[in-house]
Amino acid sequence: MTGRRALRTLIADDEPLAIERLQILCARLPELHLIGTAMDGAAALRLAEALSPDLLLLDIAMPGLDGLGVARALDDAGARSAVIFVTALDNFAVDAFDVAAVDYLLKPVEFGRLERAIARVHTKIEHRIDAGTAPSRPPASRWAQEFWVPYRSEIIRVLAADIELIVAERDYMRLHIGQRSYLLHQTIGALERRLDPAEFVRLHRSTIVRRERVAGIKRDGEGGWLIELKDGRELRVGRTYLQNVRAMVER
Amino acid sequence: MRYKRGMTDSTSDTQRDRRASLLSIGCFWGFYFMLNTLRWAIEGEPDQLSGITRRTVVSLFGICFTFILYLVLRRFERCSMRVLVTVAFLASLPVSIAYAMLNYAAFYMVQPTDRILQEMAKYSAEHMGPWVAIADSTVTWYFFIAAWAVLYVALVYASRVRQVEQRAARYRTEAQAAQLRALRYQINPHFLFNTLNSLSTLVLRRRTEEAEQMIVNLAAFFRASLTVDATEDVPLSEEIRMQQLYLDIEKVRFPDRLLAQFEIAPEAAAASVPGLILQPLIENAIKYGVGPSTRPVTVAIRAHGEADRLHLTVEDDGGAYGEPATQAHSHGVGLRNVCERLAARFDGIAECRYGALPGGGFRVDLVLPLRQA
Repeated sequence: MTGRRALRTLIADDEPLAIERLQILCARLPELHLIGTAMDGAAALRLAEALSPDLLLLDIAMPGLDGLGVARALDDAGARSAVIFVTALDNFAVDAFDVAAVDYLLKPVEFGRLERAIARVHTKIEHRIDAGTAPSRPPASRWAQEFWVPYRSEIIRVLAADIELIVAERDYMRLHIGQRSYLLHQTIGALERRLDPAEFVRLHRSTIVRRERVAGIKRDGEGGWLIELKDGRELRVGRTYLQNVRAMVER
Repeated sequence: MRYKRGMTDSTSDTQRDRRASLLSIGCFWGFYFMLNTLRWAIEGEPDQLSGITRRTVVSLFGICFTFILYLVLRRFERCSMRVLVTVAFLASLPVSIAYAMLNYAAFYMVQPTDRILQEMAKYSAEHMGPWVAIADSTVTWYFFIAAWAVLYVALVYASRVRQVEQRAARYRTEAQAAQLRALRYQINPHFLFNTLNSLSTLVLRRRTEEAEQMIVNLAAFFRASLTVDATEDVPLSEEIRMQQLYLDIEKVRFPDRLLAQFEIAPEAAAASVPGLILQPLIENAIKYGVGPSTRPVTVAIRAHGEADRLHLTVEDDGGAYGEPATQAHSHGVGLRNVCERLAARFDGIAECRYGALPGGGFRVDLVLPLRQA
């Protein structure tokens, strides 16, 4: 712990009491060094550009530029600040997933939860130092590597590499990982575009499956086709996707 | 309460149906009695008094027989119409036979009149016994009694139709109530979590009096919003008190950005309005007016009566940097719910107008019937 450099931290929230609360919590963590607060997105961006903080605690709903916009602008400018989103609600905007965040915290933030998030920031920074600081940024993959999803009373990260099956449920996508599943507020089309086609294949209007989960393809006896998964489950193949799916299986 | 009222309704319905059935028996026989008495009078029968006495006796028995028929049919009340009609025609037969026999006894065996004696003589001459007379009379009476039975079936049918209609009406009312409940304001989690967040800061800062005030306001607001039945009306003054609580809580969150203004005319304060009708509008003013704005925003709530109309206005001068978030505002669920609720409640007499203001901000005008609570 002693080896760790203090994290120069910026807080942005449009509610004074919300800022104050984070200030109180931050003051309990000696490794956080508060360098500024902002009450709207534009001010946060200006401060961040001027001070290059190590960490930003960003509210999402703010007047003008919102928290996601701030993070995206910093990302585009090549800033290296770690971002932790602090939000009151789990149904944040769909494009939240485009923004690389270290963590999502829900208001009112629990102290222990903030500590865990800060530990994650340290890990990330150390990782970067170990990897050598030379390249300004690793080339960002075109494909999403992770998704933040509401789970019980938290927002947690799931890795794209762990997702086995995705099934649309109205406005949400259910991401299946082993026995568990998580809901993501996203359209299936938008989600498909974010996923590496080398790993995932669209089966149907409402299903996407990991290619390696597919065991075979067969007729359903009514003129349609079914995909058989390695765990024995069967999924219907939509006509639009049949050619693509058959090409994959028969290869 | 509602359930109990339903029970009493159906009980009184049944009683009313039974009274109608019994009354129909009385009417039928009364009609027969009068018609035949009249006939005898016109035909100039010599012994009017004896006729009336006999007719009174047979009519009373007729009423008893028909009552027995009624008791039989009542047992089949819940069967299908086909069964009921069949039973009505079949059961009328023994009743008719019994009545015909009684009638024969009363008019032909006990001191028959001259005309009856002539009739009997005719029967004897044609070598036909009393049974033929009874059979003949049975056919005539069968017609009469079956007519009553069919009338009874018609009454049962009418009662069933009425029950179906009542059920449909009750269903419509309940569906409307359920719809209103669904349209009713639902506690906004964003508001709740942000408020708890502010509250927690006050506690950490040991600003106990402010924290206490906020908890009290929050409790009062939530209790009110959970207990208000959106299908029932409340005095506007009560609705305004609740919105003041709500705005007081929001002011703690946005101390520098939120100003609240109430202009409630006395005649409007006493008027009754659907519960929580203002809540979504004020919530929108915070969400789309105060939220995206960095400068102070005034949320104004105005109410006044004009003839028999109550005018309610919720207006803000906020919005993102002067650009009103009209799209989001107009298409919000809250505003739509308020307009739909008014339309459902007042069946087209209420008005709901809204739009962005030229200088930034948003205004909603509601016009509804002015009714005193």
